[in-house]
Amino acid sequence: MRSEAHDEFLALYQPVHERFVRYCSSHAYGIMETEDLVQETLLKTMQHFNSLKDREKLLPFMISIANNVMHNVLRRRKFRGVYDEKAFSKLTAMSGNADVAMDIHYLYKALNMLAEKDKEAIILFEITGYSIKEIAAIQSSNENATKTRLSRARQKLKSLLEEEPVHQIKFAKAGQLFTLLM
Amino acid sequence: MKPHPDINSTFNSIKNLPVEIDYSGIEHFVMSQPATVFTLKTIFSSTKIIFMTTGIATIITTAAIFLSINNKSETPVAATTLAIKKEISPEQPMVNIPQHTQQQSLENISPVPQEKKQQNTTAQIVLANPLNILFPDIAGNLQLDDTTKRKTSIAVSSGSGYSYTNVSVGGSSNSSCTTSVISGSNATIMSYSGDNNEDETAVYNFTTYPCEKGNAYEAIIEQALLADGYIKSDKKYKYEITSKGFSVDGDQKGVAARDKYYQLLIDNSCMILNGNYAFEFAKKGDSISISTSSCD
Repeated sequence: MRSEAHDEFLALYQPVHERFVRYCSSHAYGIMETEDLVQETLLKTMQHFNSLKDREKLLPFMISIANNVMHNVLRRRKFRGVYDEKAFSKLTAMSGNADVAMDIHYLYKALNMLAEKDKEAIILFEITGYSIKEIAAIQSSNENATKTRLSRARQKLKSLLEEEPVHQIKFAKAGQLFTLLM
Repeated sequence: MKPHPDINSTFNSIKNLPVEIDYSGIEHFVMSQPATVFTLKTIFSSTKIIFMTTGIATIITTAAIFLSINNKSETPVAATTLAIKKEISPEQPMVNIPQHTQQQSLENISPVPQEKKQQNTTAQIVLANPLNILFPDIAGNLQLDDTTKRKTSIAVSSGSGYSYTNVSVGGSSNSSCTTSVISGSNATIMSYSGDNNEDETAVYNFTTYPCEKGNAYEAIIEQALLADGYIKSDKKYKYEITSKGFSVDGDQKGVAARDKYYQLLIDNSCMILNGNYAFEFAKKGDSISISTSSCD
């Protein structure tokens, strides 16, 4: 059932496809399936496509929707950051190297321990390739605040990855103990 | 396995990973969605508005039809007459009124056709002691010592722009209390009935008898209340004249004030108040509520 709307949407989506999926992969790791996040975000984007005034801003629009989807998933989950064997297997298959896959796995897990905005900013900057100015626009912030946020997030990531033992990171948030079983 | 992965190199590794979902999969997914998915939210919003508008329109239409039927089926005077006629019992004391006017009232009552009686909206309800529940202020003034032992009846009637409630508490041979409340945008006391004996406790009812003085007291008392500074606005206020005192918006006033407003009421209305009585007038915007209560 191809329509003009389908064609217009796909034409706008194709150039941002890779960045969008990479963002979803990093954001959803260990929390939900990337496919689920992508599908749900796509569906919501299509439903609200007519409300998107500036069609050039499709990717920030989709990232906002993906964030909302993730936020809802996290809100419903009692625990998060639980080791996901399936996700790790997929990562190993994709990277073709178990060591690299493990590093990425640790990094993703550490990312999940950051505050949502910090996590979002660092994924957008380091993985999706957004500039500080663009991130500031997406997060409704200013460039200086975004720089500070990125710097702080990197420091936090570094300290999390350097924690000993790296196989078991315990952290508390909102009065609950979250444990990463590695 | 490295215990401390390097952040920069790991991010580079992530960038070098193949894309988890290829574009053809996305294209297939998008194309499998119906074209309506792009307008689904708009349709839902529009439908919601349509349903809301239709619902409001239906309510207004129903109300308009109901009111028009109500107006066609009964004249307000006849309906009120029938409602009150049911309430008057032989034991109930009558209001002072000239004899010829009583006859006039009866003449006006008699031509009411039988069919209209059946369309009357009066309801008779028997309750333990609703007076204290419905009109606690008035009930207090009436000093109903043994109301729980008495038979209580309530008549509820409504017409175009007004509603009428009549509560009678009686049962014993030598005592009875009646409270009448009429309220709404068209609430007005049109006429009274009763007998000539001024020693009797006053009970007034709505009948077909026209009162010559009309409701002149409403405007006159309102002006007096404003002039005396008892009320600041003529939009919303309440006053009560009882056999014991006078209050405006709940504030009790002195004896002199009570006598003045009692006289204004008597001089500019057809009401006769004897024995234990309470007259309450409340105004809120275009709607007024007139409550009278009496006990022998």
